[in-house]
Amino acid sequence: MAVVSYFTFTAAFITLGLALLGYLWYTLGRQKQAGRLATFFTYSSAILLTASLGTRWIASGHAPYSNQFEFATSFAWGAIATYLYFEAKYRVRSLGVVAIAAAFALLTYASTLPKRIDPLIAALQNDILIVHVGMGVIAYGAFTCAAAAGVLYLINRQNRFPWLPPQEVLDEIGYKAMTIGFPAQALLLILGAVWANTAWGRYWGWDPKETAALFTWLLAAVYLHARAQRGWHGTRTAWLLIAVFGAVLFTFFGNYFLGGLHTYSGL
Amino acid sequence: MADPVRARAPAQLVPEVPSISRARASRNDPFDRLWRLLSSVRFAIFLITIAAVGVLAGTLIMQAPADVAANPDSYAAWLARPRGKYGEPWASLFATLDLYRVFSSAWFRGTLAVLALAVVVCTINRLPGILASIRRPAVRVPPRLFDKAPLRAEFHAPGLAPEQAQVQVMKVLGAHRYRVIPWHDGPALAVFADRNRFGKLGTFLNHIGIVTILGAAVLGNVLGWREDGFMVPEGSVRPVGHGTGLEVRNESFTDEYYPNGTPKDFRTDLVLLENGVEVARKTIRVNDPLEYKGVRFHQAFFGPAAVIRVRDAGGNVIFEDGVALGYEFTGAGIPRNGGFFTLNNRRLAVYVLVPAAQRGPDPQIPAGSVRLEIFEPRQTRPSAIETLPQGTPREIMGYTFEFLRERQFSGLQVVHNPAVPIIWLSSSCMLAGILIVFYFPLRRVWARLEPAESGDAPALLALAPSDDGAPGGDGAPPAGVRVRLAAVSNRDILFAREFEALALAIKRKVTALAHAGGPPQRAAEPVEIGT
Repeated sequence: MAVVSYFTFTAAFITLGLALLGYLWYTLGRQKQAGRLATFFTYSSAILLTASLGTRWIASGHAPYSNQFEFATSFAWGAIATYLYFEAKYRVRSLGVVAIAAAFALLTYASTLPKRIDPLIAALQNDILIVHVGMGVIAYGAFTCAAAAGVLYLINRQNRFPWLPPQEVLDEIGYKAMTIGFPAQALLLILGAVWANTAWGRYWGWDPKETAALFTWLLAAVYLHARAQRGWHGTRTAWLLIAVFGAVLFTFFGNYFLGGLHTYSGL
Repeated sequence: MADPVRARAPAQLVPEVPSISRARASRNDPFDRLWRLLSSVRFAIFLITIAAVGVLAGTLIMQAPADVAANPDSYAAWLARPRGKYGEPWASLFATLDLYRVFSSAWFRGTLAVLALAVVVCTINRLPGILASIRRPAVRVPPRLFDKAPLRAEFHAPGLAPEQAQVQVMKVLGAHRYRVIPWHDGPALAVFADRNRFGKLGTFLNHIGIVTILGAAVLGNVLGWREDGFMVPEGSVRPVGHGTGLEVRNESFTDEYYPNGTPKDFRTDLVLLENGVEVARKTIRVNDPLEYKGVRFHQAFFGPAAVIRVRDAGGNVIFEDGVALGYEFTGAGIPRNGGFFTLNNRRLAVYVLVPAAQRGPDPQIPAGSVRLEIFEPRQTRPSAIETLPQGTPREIMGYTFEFLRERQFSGLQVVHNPAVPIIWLSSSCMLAGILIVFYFPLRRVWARLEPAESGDAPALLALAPSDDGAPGGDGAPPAGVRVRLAAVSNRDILFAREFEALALAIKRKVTALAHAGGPPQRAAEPVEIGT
């Protein structure tokens, strides 16, 4: 099983690279066929990555969230899944140039990490793990797509590039991604509190990682209020989308420097 | 705080929700000005940003442990650490801004309190209007809305009376889960339709949840208590205190490891005594605490303990118990672990020290020995220091001390927080509110059905090319009904698509009726969808 997991991971990694090339060709070379090919590769990569995570889950006996390799892979999976949702819903393949690039970067990072399967340490032996981190996967994936929309929004100023999605569409994708990411992040925090209350005897302890996750959520709340505010909507909210993603990366890579009670995840 | 997905109606066309602040807007009344400030979204954004900055600072800058931060003396001593890490002038600047204890600082807590107040003010401000708009929706709108609304559609159905078209409009909207309210406006008929009319309450549910979470946190601090370093050596009994009458006995402690050295499991067989009688018994683990009458016992940490026996001059055992060696000491610059106990009605404090784990050999404490330091009241230097090998009694200051054996202690967190259920309830409210705002937004559609006399049928701005052919053509259009639809959207492309689909469905229904009704005629005009 572990071998299957490793093989499918590598296949998903390569396929996603091909998808990224396809999206680049589609967007910069304006090749419609390349777009279709890119979508096909993205779906293939999503299936392979699902298989990789699934077989790893079976092989290790616990959800694939317990070390940096597993979570980086799951994070990439979340980004690909939410991207595919938005591609299907809004028919905007050029979003893939940024979103799939981010997912590919995550898989590249994951490929450099130790991939051995470790047993679950005592503190993580709780089924809340599956939903708590699962919500993180969804939220982080959605925030990745939101930021991708924000980046394209800033590039496509005054809709000067007709081959990019118009700003109105990008603004809405950013917002719709937030409507997925914001509640998922809220549930992540709430389930984290439920778990902390059981495991550490308090629902909130200003642990660096939970504090960083709260920071992400607060930034997302700033975005939502700013978007509803007349005159703030547009460039300013696009930057906020990118800032939220920055906070996600800060929380994610915080395992290296934040310390605190979430550091058991190891590398 | 405004609803993030507030519908953007063109000014004055759709009645806006009234608010208290507008009702009595005397600009110079300080209370009114404060009220307006607290209910403004911009101020809320400012407050959330301040809170976010505080949270970020608390993540990036080292934080004093809660017990240190609460004690001015130990906090002052602790400040030496960041000075070494950040250097001047940063260390002093951070200290001035209270950035080493952000989450207990006055400015951070003050920000949260003002934020909670702003949420309350905002709710008081907007709730009555929203409730009124639910009770009395904006059914009647001026005809101008159909020229100005961000989403518009219209078509002409010849040979039909407005009443017939109205029925079809209501059928289609009803089939799309809209609540429909027909009305008439002079010679024209109209339909108001809305869906998720309670959607706007989601914001309040969310905001009330946030305020009650903050309130419950304060309540928990006031009513609850916690012991974070509650150490019970194996075989020992410790009183819980706090007026509970509870005592904890550690029957046994076990720790297990995977081959790679990471902890697999650690657990304590715990017995709970109430007034000396056993009332509960459980093997607790990190993820499985014991709860009794609102007091929870969590497995948190563990470490070594030493069992010490003390006899007085007459040979009577006056102390025999495990001493948890769970504290860190750095006396004389050598890091050591230790614990203490008191003798003779607290007249003597006995510190038991062992070499710190993973520190190599200690120059003064051989392996298998403990070091005793005995303090008399109000003395900073020990009155006696003795190294005690296991199993060898020593006479010190008139008492005989003996280090009997090594044990382990179990470190517990003992917690009483009656406000925790409120936290879960409020969190659920908060989350439900978010989901309602995002997934059940208020949708409103207005339809107007105007009788079109022969000759004065509206000239359509046929922007959308259609296979049906352009309207008009030769001769005046026949009498019929002009169907006009309008909706307001908040930059919501999916709703714009839904509106488009609704308009097409209505057109299909109405034209089908027109065909079935009068003599065979040309198809109705194309739907024109404005944006």
